[in-house]
Amino acid sequence: MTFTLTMLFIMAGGSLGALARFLCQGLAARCTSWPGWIPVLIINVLGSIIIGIAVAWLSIDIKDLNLQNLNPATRVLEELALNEMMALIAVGFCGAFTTFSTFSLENYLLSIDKKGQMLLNMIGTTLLAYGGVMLGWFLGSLGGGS
Amino acid sequence: MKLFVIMLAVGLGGAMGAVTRNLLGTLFHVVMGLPEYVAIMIVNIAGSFLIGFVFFCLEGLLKKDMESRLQKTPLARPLVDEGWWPSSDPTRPVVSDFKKDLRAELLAAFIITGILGGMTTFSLFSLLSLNLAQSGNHVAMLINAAGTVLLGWLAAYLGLICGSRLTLRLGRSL
Repeated sequence: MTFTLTMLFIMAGGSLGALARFLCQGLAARCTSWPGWIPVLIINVLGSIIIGIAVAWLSIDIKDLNLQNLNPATRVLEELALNEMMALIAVGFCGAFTTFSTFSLENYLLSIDKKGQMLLNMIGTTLLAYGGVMLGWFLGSLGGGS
Repeated sequence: MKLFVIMLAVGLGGAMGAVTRNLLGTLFHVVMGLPEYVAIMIVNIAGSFLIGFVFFCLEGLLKKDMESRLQKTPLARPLVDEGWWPSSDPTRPVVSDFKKDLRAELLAAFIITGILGGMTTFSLFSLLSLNLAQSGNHVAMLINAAGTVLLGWLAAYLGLICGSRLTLRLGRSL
């Protein structure tokens, strides 16, 4: 039962994430004249920031719950809610909002005659996403645990 | 109306891709006992292979205006004259490639943007890299980061090659 519920939340988050990525790409193509890999880079970094915030925030809340002596029924429900939030935001939304397959395909297409942009994309996305998740983790640790 | 149908395809594909990633991740991590970052790495690389394969098949089999961005790649060299690049941006979004054919546009939105884009993930990859660094496992983090990016590039290339073989076997070219 919990398994099915988690899957449903992941599906909801996944469809929202994929849609948001599609719309961001369309918006960037309409409003800017950037090459197609820049919106994907921004999307991947943004998703990494969001997942950092969400996971830091929610894991602090889960730790707090174990400390507090809630009555068991409430605690089970609260834990369930936090786990489903994690499934919805982190695994579903952020996971589907960011994409690795498009990133790899673009790296190959750029490697044919735009090797500089390929290196920029490879190194830039990896480092910025790593920095983004660190930033998100820091922000989430500040806000959580109230 | 057309945009709505395409958005529906993207959303449906995204839901299926996210669930597939979670199930495969659970299979590799919980059932087979691999570390979590290896599980996500396998899913990302498999998705990169599949995107190359599907992308070439869509470009080769369904494109009617013969303006594929793959025409200058080594994959198409026996098929068309060299030195012709229809657009200066090889990385424009896939769905906008198929404006003239709703069927191909929907397939690109559903499979590439939806399923494969939802299945592969960059955010979990960077989150797991951070977790590895926080637990002091810097070697594993570097292997994860460099390995996933480079193997993903290779997988996309192999996928394109397999797609070109299938396209040729079906008697179509770019």
